[in-house]
Amino acid sequence: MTNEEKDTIYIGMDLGTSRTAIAASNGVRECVPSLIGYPKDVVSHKLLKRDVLYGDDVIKHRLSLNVYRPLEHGCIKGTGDHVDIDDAAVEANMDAAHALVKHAIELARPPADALVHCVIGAPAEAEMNNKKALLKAAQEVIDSVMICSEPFAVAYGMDVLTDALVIDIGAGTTDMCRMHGTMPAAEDQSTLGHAGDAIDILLAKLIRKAHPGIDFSDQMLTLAKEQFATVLASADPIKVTWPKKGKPTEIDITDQMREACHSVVPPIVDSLAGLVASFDPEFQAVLRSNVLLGGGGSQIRGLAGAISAYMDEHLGGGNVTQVDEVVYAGANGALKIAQDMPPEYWEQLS
Amino acid sequence: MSRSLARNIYHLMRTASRRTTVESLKKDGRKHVSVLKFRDIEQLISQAVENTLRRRGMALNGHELHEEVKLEFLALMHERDTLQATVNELVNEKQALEDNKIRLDKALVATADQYEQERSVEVSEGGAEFDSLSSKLETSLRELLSKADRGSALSDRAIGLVTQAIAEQREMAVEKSRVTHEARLQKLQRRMHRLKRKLQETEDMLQRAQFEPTLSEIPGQPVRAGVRTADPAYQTKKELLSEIFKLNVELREILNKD
Repeated sequence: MTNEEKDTIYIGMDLGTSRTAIAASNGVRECVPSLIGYPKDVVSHKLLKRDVLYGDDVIKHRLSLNVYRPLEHGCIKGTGDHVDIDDAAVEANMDAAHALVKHAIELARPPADALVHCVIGAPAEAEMNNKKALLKAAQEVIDSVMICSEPFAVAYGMDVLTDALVIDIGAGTTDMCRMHGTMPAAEDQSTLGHAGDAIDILLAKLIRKAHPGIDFSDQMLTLAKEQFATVLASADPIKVTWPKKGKPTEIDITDQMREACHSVVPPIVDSLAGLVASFDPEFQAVLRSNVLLGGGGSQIRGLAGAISAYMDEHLGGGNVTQVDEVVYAGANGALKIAQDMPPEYWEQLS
Repeated sequence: MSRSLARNIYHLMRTASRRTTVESLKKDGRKHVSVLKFRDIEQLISQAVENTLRRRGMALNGHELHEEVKLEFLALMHERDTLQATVNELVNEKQALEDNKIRLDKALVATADQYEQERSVEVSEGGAEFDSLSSKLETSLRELLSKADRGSALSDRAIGLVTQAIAEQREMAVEKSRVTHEARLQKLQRRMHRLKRKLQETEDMLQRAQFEPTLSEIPGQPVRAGVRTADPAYQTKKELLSEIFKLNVELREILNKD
């Protein structure tokens, strides 16, 4: 290894709406909630002894903090082309995104004088303004940074460069990318707004309808989903104990969970249908039979099988496989891109 | 080699060779000629035969032996040619290293200049714009409060609060400028540090390549970052990475224009 390679650290970053994952060339891998918190007042500042809190600390102390979740649908809030949000809010989100990126880099524990080369995954159909905002948030803390499509990074990390469809289910967006041996163009990619957050909203609505009077927070709902999410008819009953008019009450949310989780299947298959239909007819069967499923949302038990079954019914066949290490698939792929990138390219962008 | 075989080869060589005098060679302008003793030829042939027999490990008929020995001899000659080609390649690499060193020198000088320029920039204290704003606000407030027939104590207090707010804003702006300036300086320092290291590496590699390499002194190739040439998807990945790079260059250009 040359001195240059010893002084350089490569990082792949999956900057997600709900969670941010990094994979670094020094072997570090971390995943944190994409949350930033600032003490609300002098009292909370004195209690917490910090100016900024990140990730799990924000969840723990959220009552004392002004909490920012700076990413929405995979991009920095307010930086889209057609978003109506005031400048102060946009700036606050940019500052929070900048803090999140800085924290993510620190998690990789780079040596003090090491150069940091980082590839960040963005949603497949991220607008130009979104990418610019990501770049701007990252440039101040990273020596050299590149943006690439998130599902493409997943495919690259798995060395699947051709005849495959990648689905990356996040919290804010579900991204799809068609791989055919060259750089995916706009028509090879698709982004849906229906993802983990949409499942949460539907689940909350279904539970409130089935169990009137039951009381729960977003955090409680998310924890239940992460623990029990399933589309399997054969799943064990899902019971949670939540307050109802102040009294802890056990309720069964199996049907609601199944229905909410399954709601993501039809829009995914509809979008897949578009990508398959517009592909070379000679290779459509190969594409359908090689669908890779990744992202945090892919951890819903039985989801790969459910999508396959829906494809059988509506597209005439399909085979969906869940990738290994779903949480880190995007970050691992971005790291591989960073490491494979010729050094002279990094130099030119630094 | 048996005496009879040696005698046969000697006879063949005599028949195939051309006899001439030293004077004739001098007349042709030849000052130096290569001399190969028959003993050396005998040794090369013996080596070729021995290698062949060792490799085959079995008795060969006359024709097979002839073919094998010929191949072995040709392989030895080919290896010698390949090594010579490697030597030539190393000479070219040495030239490339020298060119790279010049480029790095220039980049280091340019970065050092940029660093000095950046360091000499004084962080703005907020200056005239804050003074002007403060003055305008004070004047407007005094007018407003005097119209509303408020006492001068209230005016002074209001102005004091506004002045304090402006001072705090000025401090925050200065601090922000200072932090940004520091970050830029650190980035340039890291770049210079990296260029110096790269220059040192190049000089070390150049030092090693200063001697004219002989066939027995061929160094190994340095390990480089990037896609390995042995990767089955090497070409595809190279093209994809190049596309990603170009898209990011375009993104930078758009960002810099804003």
